[in-house]
Amino acid sequence: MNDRFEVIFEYNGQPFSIEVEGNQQIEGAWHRALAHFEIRPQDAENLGLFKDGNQIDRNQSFKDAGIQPGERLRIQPIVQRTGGSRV
Amino acid sequence: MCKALLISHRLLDAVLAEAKRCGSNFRECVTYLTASLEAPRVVDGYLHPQHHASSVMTEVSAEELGNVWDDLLATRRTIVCQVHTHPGAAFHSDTDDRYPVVHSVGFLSLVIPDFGYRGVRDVHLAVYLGEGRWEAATPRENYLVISDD
Repeated sequence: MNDRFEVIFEYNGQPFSIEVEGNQQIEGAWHRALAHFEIRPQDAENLGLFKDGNQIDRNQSFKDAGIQPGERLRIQPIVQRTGGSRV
Repeated sequence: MCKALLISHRLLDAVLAEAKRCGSNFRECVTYLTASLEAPRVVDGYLHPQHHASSVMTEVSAEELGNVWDDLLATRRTIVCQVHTHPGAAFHSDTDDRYPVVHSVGFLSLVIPDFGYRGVRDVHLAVYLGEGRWEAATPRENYLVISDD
């Protein structure tokens, strides 16, 4: 049975489709999406992957996360901050 | 081909007016300049997210950032520059470095001094290099052009 399907990563208003396998770890596709959006892996510390408003664990497979073909996953900051004082 | 971001004076004035109104001369304020996916170098508007703020900080929650992402997807727009005010001088602080709204290399961040009450004089524009590193975007006209409407 073919377990391959497409998911759509969204970041800053832009979609990026990736073909994945159900048993594949999300983390691998996450890194491909980061590269597409010109985000360095070191910058992922303040980013999360969200599905329906909830952050999901990337250290699991698409299948275990219940992600369906065509599902949209969001890469977004966990928080955005500014600060005007010198540290 | 010009790769600088283009914003009209009128739109930038509107952003400053919003920041001054929001900050009331004692709180920082943050807004996001947007462009359409079809013309990503031309600023077409701005988003003003709900944020916590004090005289020395702003913070936008994950929930509100989700609302911002909703808006962008619904309108086929993208954030091209973050704008925020400082109480005094304009510079990119450690907090500004670490927690931008967009982490893509080349993203711009405009810092406005004195809660916006000095207009666009003495602003600081920074460009993201990745891995938490920013540098001053100079000369500014190579990165941001303010047009006469």
